[in-house]
Amino acid sequence: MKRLTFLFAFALAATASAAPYESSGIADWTTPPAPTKEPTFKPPVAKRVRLPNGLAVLVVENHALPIVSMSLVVPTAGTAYDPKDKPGIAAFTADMLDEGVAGMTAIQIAQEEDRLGATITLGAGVDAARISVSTLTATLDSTIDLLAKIVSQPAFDPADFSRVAGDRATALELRRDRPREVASLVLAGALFGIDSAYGHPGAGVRESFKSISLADLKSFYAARWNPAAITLVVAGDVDSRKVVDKLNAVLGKWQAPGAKPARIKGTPSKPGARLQLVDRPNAPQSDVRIGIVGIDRKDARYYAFEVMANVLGGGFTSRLNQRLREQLGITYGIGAGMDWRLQPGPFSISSAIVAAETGHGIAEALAIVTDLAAKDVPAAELDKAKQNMIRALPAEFATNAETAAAFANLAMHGLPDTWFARYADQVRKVTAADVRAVAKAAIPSGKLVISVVGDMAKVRADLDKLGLGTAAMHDPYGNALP
Amino acid sequence: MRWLVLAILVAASTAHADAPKIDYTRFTLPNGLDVYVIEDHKAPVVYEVMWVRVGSKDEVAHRTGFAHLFEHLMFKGSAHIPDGLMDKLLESAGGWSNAFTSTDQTVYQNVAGSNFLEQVLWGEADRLAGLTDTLDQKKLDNQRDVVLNERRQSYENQPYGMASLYLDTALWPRDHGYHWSTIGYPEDIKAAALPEVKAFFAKYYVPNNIAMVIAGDVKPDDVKRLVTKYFAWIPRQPTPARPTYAAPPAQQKPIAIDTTDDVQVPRTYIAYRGTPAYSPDEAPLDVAASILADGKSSRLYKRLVYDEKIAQTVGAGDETREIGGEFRIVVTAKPGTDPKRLSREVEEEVEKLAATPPDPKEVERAVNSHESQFLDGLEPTLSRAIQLANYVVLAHDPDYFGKDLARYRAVTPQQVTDVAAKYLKKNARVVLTINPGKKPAQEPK
Repeated sequence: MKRLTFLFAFALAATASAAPYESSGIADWTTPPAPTKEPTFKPPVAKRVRLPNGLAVLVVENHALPIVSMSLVVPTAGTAYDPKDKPGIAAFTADMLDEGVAGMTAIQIAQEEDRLGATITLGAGVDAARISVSTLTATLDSTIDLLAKIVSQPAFDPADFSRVAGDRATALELRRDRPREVASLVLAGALFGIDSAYGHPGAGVRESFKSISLADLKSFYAARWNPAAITLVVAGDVDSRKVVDKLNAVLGKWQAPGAKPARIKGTPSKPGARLQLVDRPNAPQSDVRIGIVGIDRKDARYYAFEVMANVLGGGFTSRLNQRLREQLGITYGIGAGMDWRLQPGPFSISSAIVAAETGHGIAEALAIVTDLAAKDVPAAELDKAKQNMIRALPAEFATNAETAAAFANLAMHGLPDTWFARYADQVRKVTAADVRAVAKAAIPSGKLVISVVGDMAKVRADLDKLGLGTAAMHDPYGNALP
Repeated sequence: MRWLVLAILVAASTAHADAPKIDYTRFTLPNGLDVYVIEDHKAPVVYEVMWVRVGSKDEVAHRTGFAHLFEHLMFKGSAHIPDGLMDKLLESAGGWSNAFTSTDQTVYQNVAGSNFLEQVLWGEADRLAGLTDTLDQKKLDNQRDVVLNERRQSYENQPYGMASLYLDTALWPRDHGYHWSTIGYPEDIKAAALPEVKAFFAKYYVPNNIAMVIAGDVKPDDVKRLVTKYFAWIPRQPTPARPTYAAPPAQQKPIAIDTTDDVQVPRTYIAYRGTPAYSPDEAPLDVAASILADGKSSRLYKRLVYDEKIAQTVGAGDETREIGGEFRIVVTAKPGTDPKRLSREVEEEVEKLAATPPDPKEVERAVNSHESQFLDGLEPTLSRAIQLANYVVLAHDPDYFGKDLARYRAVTPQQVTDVAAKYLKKNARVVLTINPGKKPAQEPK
């Protein structure tokens, strides 16, 4: 009866519109109006100079508003360079730089930022440490002075060290409250090995955190925060020549004690059990990650891979989201994407799925991946994905901060500053056969690893039916259980 | 020559910083649709913002969450556009669509390459005129499930995720529209029926209840021609009679709420009813929030995190809405800290600020920091468009950009103390503490 009622309601509505469309004067409402002439887009161009100490500076001028953003990338100081027995050093080091510098306490640094209308944010990603700065044109010089002190004259005071260590230790204690973070770190550990460069949690782990000393941070900083490895991108309302002169004056003489450090080479893929589980009693939904070690950033299949990821889980209309959200209603959203790293990084599908449908949702996602390798993507769908990527490129430069980050990212990967100019043409060349081939070779559904943080009492029986083999269990922090 | 030209531009734009002004053109269709155009050719992209004057405070009894659930249904196709087609078209055009619902409004955004302007307006017009023509029980069932999953993801399965529900219910009387949260209660979300959806649409989604902003790489004449073509025929309707709420009586004594969640350390919220958006007290109260707990330069960070090391994080928010506001201070305890000590020390700092005007340098820092964030907020074309709609609807003044900056620059230390004394009173306080434990089955109502 339910179905019949639906049909009846639908028929009624179709004959009686709420609005007097006939008075609109538009004869055809069903054909989407054609676009006008395709506009041309030229990505911004960066001016590149090198300071005497090897620090590379890129400047992108944009005078729309009296503001400036900067992105400083240190591609030798990411968490991938943590010593095996002391995970967390890279992130802790980055955290310490604005906790006290020559002549200023952490509080005074924060007060100076506010006075200048500046925000300086530090952090360590996997491949690189980064500093993001936003400020006003009017206070740019003083902001650069402050940035230079933070990056080149950190105090590493023992009292600050113990205070920040306390904060970071507490954050690790609270990790179990953040199921999405735990789901991601369990997947990384399963794909790369929990004590490997790409497999360990960048913030560290509770068990070994106390072994990190101030001396460890000082030596990590001395060895890996080396100006010869750094790229600083300035984007916004600046005069290129003046800002380079200023940077040269305050950073050009900065020298690190050692030689330019080496970068990561090769990350072992170390797949363990395909099912990685964390019990979170009473969780109403399960945080799910489905992943595999992807391809190299410089692999010729890069563009085909990106088109494939777009079709699979790139936007609202992706296959995963249409099926699991718009048809099944078992999630608020699901997406997929590659974390492009210096070495092949993780490709992952991410979602939070209602507890009762966790096994079902994972099976659906795997079936969608299987299908991508088995059949060509229809022409219209392929075109949608490619046009989406090409026409969305301008939005990558919507703000100075995004522009600076985009160029800093190219520098991190060792790609040319002109890379974006060729992007659209490369995407256009991708064929359905390319997409199918890369799906089949790079993300075979039979090898994907699945991590789930959820209420095992509710989800375990369904997960066991997926035929993924023996599950590896983890505690609520993501540590492997025996 | 290039350098010289650039230098002049720099000088010109620096001078502009003193009076930021967003240039726009405006037209109003005979049916009441109020349209603003921001021309910005920096990228070949168009942004369309449709601000509808309806939010969760307009909901009726036992239908909490309805405005937000309705928002979801706006993406399920319309009279001539099948479910899913509009998003495919927008994504093909390099764009996307989204929306947000709050207590007071529902705001839709469409983004596309600028040569797709007509397609964007066609799609928006078809759902404004004919959304419910093709709306059926299946679409409603699907989005009800999606919304319940959104609720799990954003509230139920978030550490401390139910805090805002506790605070809303405690700060506002049961018969006030801010008493219930925008996400709503699951049983109400499940009860929403198709005829109610149609009635809600017919009442609120009418051209004369909307402010629209089109921004980006467009020409105002083109926008006017196309908006007229697609929207002018849609009939004007009676101005929706929105529920009105009297200002709640002053709270007579402090309220304390203790509850539990699946978390490792306690978190304490000290909240008060604040002031509406764009009211004279908003700017000084914002500055008070900054001085107390915004970032490492704030008083509470220094005392609780930096010096005493009894808190993991501190934060403050002065959330101002159409007819009232909520002022909150949030402190997460370090393991072993008694949350009572946290709330006591917060109260001491609040009382100190209410008694003694802050150092002018503290006010200067808070204002500079605000100004910088304000300028950053104007940078993305979309956020500028949303800000303009916000000024139109809530400040009743599309030319408010310059005035907005000016009112923060005018804040004096004495004003900060005056508003702290006026709003952050001991008896007006709600202190919510979420302790480690099991999440209670019963939600706050």
